[in-house]
Amino acid sequence: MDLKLKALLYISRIMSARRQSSASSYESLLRPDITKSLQTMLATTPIAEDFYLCDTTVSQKETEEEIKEIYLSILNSSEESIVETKSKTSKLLDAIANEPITENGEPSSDELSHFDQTLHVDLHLRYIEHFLNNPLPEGFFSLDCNHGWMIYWLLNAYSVLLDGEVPEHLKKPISAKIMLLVIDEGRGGIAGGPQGQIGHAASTYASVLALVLIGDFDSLALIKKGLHQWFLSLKAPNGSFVMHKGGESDARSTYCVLSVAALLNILTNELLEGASGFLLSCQSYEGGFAGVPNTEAHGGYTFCALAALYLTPDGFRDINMESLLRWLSARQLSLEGGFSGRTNKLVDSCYSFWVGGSFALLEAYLDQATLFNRPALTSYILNCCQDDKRGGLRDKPSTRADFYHTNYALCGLSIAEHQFVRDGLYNFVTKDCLEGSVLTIGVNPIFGIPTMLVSHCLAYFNATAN
Amino acid sequence: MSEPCQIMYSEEYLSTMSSLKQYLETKTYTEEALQVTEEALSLLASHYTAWCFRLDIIKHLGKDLFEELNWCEEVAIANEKNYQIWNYRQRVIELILEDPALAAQFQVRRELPIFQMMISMDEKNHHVWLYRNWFVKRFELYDDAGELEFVNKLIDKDARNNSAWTHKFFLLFSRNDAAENIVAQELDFCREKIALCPQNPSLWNYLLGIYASQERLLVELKDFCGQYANINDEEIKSSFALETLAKIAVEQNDVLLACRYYDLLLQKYDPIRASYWNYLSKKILLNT
Ligand SMILES: [Zn+2]
Repeated sequence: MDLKLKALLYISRIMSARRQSSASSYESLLRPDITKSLQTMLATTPIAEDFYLCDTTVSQKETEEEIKEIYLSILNSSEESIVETKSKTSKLLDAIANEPITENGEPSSDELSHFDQTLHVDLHLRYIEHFLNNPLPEGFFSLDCNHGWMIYWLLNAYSVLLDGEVPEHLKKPISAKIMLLVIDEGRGGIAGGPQGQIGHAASTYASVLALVLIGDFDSLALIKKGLHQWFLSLKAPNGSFVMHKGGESDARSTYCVLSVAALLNILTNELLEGASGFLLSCQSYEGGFAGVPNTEAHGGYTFCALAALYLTPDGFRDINMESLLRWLSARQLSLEGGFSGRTNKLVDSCYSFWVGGSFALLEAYLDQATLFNRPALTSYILNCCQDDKRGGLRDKPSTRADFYHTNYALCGLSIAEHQFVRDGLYNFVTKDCLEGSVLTIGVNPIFGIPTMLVSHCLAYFNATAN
Repeated sequence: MSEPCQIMYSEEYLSTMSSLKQYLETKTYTEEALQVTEEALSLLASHYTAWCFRLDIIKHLGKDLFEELNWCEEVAIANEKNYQIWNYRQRVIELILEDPALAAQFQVRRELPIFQMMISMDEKNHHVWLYRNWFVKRFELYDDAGELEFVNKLIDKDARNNSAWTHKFFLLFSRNDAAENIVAQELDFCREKIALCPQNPSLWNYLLGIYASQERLLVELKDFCGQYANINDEEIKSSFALETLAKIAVEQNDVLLACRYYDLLLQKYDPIRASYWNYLSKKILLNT
């Protein structure tokens, strides 16, 4: 058995290595059998139902029905024979990988195997390239205050699929575009778009991440001093930061400032002052975090608060972990497998990262391999969120793909496919959950970009400190 | 290679935004500039720079701030998901309150119709609730009867409206001085709703939230939970009741019982969260 195991792991290692070297086969060669997992999701738990009807129940039931049909069609299909031969290997690997985590019995080999839809890597890359290489149609004016964001979403999704690479020919134009949005060498922040827009902390965050993705550390070095000065001007008396001059201040704006400062090695005590106190005050009675104290716990703000707290000394120590973990766990929906952003709200693929990333931070902090159901999240993303005609990923089956969900669904998939172990102050070593079957590279759950790029950036700014 | 993600703006959009840019650069605070901010915001309500500029113009021109609030309402109704507008509205109201003469004219009640309108369009609109939270804090309306009536109505209509529950918790329990009769009343209210829909997480979160904020022992809930999770008869109406029974067992240091409940959740009643139930079992076993 031991030899067999070693041989299998060896094969899977070769297979995953091949993916990285061959541009023509992005797709992984091993696919885990999801039969059991889907059966668990589809099985109605033996809980007596009540007959209370309300708007929330109706929309929840509609979404469940739609997704149930998708999962049932997978279970009812018997896939082509090529996967059959793979399934034996994958089942064995599955059993090995799952052994320490779940207490499921031996996978029976007589049953038919079923698989998640493949990730349409080529199609998604084409979708991304199309929008990066061509002018955007008129309707995109609605994102005119989010130019940095559009670049980040598209480039990051691309790099998560392609081992941290971005298209070479785009590096210069992207750098030029972002530098045009920089105001007064950073002393006014980075604007969300052209035509006189002022600096905005979230746009600054997205634009800085885009520069890290293209490896343009020289440009970042030019503006980091200015940005530090600007961040100080955004500091609010309660320890948070305002989004822009006269703007709102909440966990999101605080995260945007602290995370950029950490990446550029300008996270000074002045910036940190009072921040963790503010962030901790955003934890709600439900356990999740809200944007401002005493409002509703929300997946997006929970991520922002946790990632920002991770950057503060001892910030995690004073979180109510018990209620946080309870709330995060409740985000995963039984049938859908994906996460919702708030209690009694619908599944949405972007929370695969907001909630998934929060889990990853806790797993690293608590030294736990997995605290949520990774196969179920993977099934939701792969089977319910891909536009398999035009490319791109979507919130849920009834919606259309967009840049935002394409990026965060893929980042969520990355979280589901990896385990996270602390590595230095702000980085993580990621391990494939199932060797040979990962479709994405590891994303750093503080910054939302590939871990290797975070390493490059931190190394650059540590070396150039002083 | 042209600019990545360049937008093919319409003529109208481009000309409005370029005149806005001119006014911005020259810091021109005139009626014409004000008009341009209105045009810009009607095209793109998320244009934060236009909002900031508009406020500067209003201040410089000494515009009627109450008129400005009316205008805001029209924009809000046309742009449900926009959030800049609520921040802007707060800032206009702050300007009103800074001036004693205007402050005397400001009626808190004037904010209610727009809330009603916005909430009827989307009962869980995060930005509108955020604004309502600010509004209650700003005018200290925690004990306002109308405020409580407003959330109770929404909860009666949809007991799964978690935004309404959150607002209720904020009104009653965010100041740490909830009177004993309020606590008792809310616990009753909550129990009644649980009887209607035992598998509704908003209710259990609210209930557990009260217990935590009041530092009460959960063991009080043992019989109540038993009604919804009777493991001897194998009749489970709520996984949350079962979970709460596990919490009670932990509270009482009955590790084996707690693990038994966690195992039921893991195996049968809430298997999607197997990793979580497993983690909790392991944690309490390690602590003993
Ligand atoms: Zn979403």
